[in-house]
Amino acid sequence: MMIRVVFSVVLTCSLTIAVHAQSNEDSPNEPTNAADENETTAPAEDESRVTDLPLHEDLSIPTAQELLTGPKVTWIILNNKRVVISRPITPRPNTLEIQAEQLLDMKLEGAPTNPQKLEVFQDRVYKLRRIRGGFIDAVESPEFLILTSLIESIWHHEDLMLKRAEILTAEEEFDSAYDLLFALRHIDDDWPGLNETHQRLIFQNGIFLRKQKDFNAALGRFEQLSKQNSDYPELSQMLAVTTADLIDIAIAGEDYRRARHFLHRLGQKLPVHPTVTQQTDRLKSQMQQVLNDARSASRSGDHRNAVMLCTKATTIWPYETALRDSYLEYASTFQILKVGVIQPAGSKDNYPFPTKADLRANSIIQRSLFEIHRFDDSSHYHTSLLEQWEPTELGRNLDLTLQTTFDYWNPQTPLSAVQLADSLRFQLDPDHPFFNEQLSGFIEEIHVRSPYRLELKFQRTPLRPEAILSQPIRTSNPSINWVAAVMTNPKHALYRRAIPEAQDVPQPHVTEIHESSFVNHEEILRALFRGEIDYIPELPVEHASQLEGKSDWIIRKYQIPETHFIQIRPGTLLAENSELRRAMLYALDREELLRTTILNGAPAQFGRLTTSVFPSQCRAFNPLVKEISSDPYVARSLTLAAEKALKGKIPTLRMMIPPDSGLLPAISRIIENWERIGIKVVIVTSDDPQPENWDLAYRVITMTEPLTQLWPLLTTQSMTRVADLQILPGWLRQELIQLELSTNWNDARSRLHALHQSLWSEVFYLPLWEVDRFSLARRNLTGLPSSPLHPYQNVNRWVISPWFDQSRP
Amino acid sequence: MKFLKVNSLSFLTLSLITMLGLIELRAAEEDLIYREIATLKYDVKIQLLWEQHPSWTQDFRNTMQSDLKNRIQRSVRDSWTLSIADSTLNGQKIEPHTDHSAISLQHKLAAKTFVVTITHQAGQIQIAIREGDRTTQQWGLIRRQQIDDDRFLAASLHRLIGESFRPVYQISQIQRDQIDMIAIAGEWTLDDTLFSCFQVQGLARPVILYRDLDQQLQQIQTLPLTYLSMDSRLRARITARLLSAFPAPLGRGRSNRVSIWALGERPLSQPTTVKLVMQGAPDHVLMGHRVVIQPKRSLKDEPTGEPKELLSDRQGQLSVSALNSEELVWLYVWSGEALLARVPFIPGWADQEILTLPDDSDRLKVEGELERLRADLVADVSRRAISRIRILQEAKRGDADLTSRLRVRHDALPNRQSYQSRLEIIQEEGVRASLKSGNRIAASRIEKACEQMESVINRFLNPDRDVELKEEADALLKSL
Repeated sequence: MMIRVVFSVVLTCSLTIAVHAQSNEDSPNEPTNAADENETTAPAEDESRVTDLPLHEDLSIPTAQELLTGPKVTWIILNNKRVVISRPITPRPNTLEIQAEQLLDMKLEGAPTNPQKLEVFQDRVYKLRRIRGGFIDAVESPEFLILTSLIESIWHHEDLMLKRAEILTAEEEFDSAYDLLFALRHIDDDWPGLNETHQRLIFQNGIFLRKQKDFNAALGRFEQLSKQNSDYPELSQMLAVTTADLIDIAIAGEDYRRARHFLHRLGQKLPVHPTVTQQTDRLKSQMQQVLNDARSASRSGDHRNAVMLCTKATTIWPYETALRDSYLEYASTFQILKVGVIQPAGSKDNYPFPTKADLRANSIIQRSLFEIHRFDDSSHYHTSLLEQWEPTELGRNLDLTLQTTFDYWNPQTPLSAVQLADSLRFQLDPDHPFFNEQLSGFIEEIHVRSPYRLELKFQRTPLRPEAILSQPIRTSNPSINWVAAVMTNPKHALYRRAIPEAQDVPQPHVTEIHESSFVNHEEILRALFRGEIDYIPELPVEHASQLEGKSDWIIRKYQIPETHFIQIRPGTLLAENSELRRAMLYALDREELLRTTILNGAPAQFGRLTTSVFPSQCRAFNPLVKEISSDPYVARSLTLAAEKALKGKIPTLRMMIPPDSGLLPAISRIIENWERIGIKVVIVTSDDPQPENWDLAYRVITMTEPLTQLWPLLTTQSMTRVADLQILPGWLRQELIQLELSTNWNDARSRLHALHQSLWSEVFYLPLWEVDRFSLARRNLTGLPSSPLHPYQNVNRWVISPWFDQSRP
Repeated sequence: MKFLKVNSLSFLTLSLITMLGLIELRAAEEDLIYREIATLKYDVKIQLLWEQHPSWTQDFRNTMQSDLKNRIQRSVRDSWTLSIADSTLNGQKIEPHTDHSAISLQHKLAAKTFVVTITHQAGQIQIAIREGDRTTQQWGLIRRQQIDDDRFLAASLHRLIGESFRPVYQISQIQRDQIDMIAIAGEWTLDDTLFSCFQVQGLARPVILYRDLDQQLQQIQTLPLTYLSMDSRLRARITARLLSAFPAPLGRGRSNRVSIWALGERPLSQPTTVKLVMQGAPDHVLMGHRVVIQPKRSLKDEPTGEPKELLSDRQGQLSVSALNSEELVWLYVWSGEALLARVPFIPGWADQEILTLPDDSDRLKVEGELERLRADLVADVSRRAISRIRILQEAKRGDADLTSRLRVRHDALPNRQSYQSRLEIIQEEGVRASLKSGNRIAASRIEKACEQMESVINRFLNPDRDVELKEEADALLKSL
């Protein structure tokens, strides 16, 4: 019987194909029942073709790859379990049901009496009793018709995709399953069974991820499923246990904000779930315990510990009024300034120049006799260590009277004349490690006139005694500075007052500074918004422009912009080949680089091209120096000239870059520009082992005193030593020496202007651009200078009003 | 005519006879001088100054003194008349600036004084010795030694006296840089080379004594940076080469009132500070001047080792030490690309030497400006070359409009004339400043450097090439 049915299918197929081969237009004109009978009883024409049809049980569902990239197929499963693999058929989905319904409707309507309409009716019935398909690979007679009565079921391509997705889910091949379902959604979002399969997939994937201990991702899956079907069996349980897992991990890592975040997420999904209550109670209890410890510490007079513990309590569960009161009390007594930076001070790296972190640390730890407090077209100095200072003998002598009393916010042990004299003598002694050759070239004698009075006799009258005496004081008395605590964690730095303020002062000030390291500037900003830090000393210009005018934040623009330039190491091939240096300058489209990689959408006035390392507002800056516009053709031509001079290819140059990830895009683009003209440069980061010979260094500096700072900059040394000038050309060497020997401002300025022109023309370094600097603080930080010179200027007078973040994370 | 001839002949004969007689007389005189100098004995006085110390009793001192005398006499044989004085140290010091008042020297031919202090410090015996030459009234270098056992005192003193001993020579003949001199007591042959008057490649420095008509010594002149390098010896006659920073520093040689002497000396193995000062302004020290030290005996010799570069410090000083065990070195003082001085120098012969140099700041300024000019020239030549290529490319394409515009831009680029104007300004200012400060050498060097630069400008910015470019471009445009 089975064989006969199959035969009839084949016969029908053969006939149908034959009909189509003769005339595709013709419809079979036959009575409905007679046609059925003929087809079911017709003898076989080609028995061999019957056995060609595969059995359903022998077929496997096509793979995801086949389904996604191969031709679309439909499985027509016959009653005899044989499968006809056809091209996609219509209508779909539910083909059989739709055709059966339509046939039933026609039967109920009854056959029309009009002969013409009857013919149409019969033709339609004929078609509805059959499924029109098409062979996948047939060249001739590709189409066929199969009686629906012979068909058990039809698996469309989409059904096959679902079935394969189910298999993949069971096999934990989730990615492929997602791919299939995503493709299916693209085809038909309402396909029967798609949502169920997808939900099963998400759930199983969540369970799998949880098993893999990837709780965060697992929670994401369960939450996604919850959005689709919040009543999915066991979903609530899985949401609760996964969230509990995540909270456990966060608490173990003391990341209470994260714990609260997960708790909040669970609370939004399942507000009355017992896990929410349990975890809330748990955090509250922990907070209370820490708060109790803080109170004990406060009672025992350990204010630092009290505020640290109380701060910790605010991170655990900040929503209690009692906590707020305690925090206000402790945090106003012992004020800790939390600062977000890329690199904390004291961290080790191979960058050969002082980093921003070093400069920050020095600005707070080191004390100098004279410090810059204002900068317009030149530096203006002040001193907190001297009561009076007066040049005598037409500037050949300097009479210094030291401070003996200090303001309450600036408690210090007075510096005695002997201590200062010792510090200066160390710097005058060639055998001492603190020897300062420049200072020794000026000071001839030091006379201690009284315990707090000192007289310096110069052998050469310095143009600016303040500038040469602004070196850090090297003294055995440590109590005049802030001190850096030794931190075991390289991602943190801590400074504290060497002498704390008295207990009963009218207004306590910042007592400790905690610097924390973040991966990038976006992370730092996020930390500030979350209340984890109070202050960002270096805010990129694009963020500054976005936050400007926001009332919650204090943005301060530094008095001196930072200058970006490329330092060329003296004595290297590059330093000796001016064509090559010029080629590198001509290759850079600095204007475009500044706009796209440094300003990043910030207003154009925040950055400008420069021709020098001096700030453009400084009187040393020569405004008559002409800009050089980028010209890759000239650059290439100069490179060829350099190669000719070198009699070979230019070797790969090594460029040191500072530990600031924010500069990487600019540096990469600069290197691309150079590569275009045939100069290959590789980056050496501050984490790499220091190369024996670097050729270039990307530097960011703020030059406050060109008179004394240009020399060490050109020699790439920290001190001003004549011996270091050996690597410079004779005329430049003498220009620098004559600059130091200048005795009047006009002479010094004209020499600086000439040097500016010479260094630019000869491209001794590659000046890039000058960018404004900003700092950002929360409103609760007061006492910041309106226009600071360095990040911690006057930090002794800063006040932090207690505040902590109570928003739901 | 005959008479005249006879007379002429007689005159010539007479002159010849007179000359021969003079030569003979001179030879006889020289022989006399030679015998007088070469057979002269040194009258040497050694003054031992002892610090008071319990272990240095009079007996010990006498024994040591006797031991020392025996050792020295074995070394010098009869060439010295030796006397040793012994006294207790009473505040005297052998220091460079204090000893002249403490231990004065009086002129006396072939007389030597050795002042020796023997002190005790931190369990060590410190010996310091200094030789005073009474012929030239010059004090030698202070030599010091530290020993830990006073039994070695005599031997150490013997060696130190030998090292401090400076043989005295009278310069007898000067022929350019070839010097003949006679060593005092040179007729004695000594086995101990330490006390010998001749050392192969030994060094001496000349001293000129000026006398008045009564042969009273009026002035003693030492010559800085002037040395005699000994080449050979024949009995007491020594041939040496003159090495000096100055041309003909010894003049034509001795005369009745001028005698030139030389003192042989062994340099100490310690550096000497050389101070560079400006000519005519000794207070103006020259900082940051590059000095190349080459170890070699004479200017024409190849250096015997790697040269060393130093830079004068803020006090205009640099510390020069011997290189490659060569006692004599040559200092090349550079100012930028110009050589300011080239002088022979013996490190360790003095604590400090002063080298006077001309003011080169004006020329150096010009050097820097020419460097900048050259840098600009390189860029502009590149720019012109690229512009030229573009013009020809566009002309080949037949774009007359663009070719014309590019040519206008090409013509606007800095040309030979603009560079020559810049060069003229540089040259004029530099030469004027140099002449104003009286430095003709610098002015001439500036002119030479500017000439060289001008030839470079002419070579790379030849206006004929612009004409050629125009013609070539026109031809290309017409051909299309």
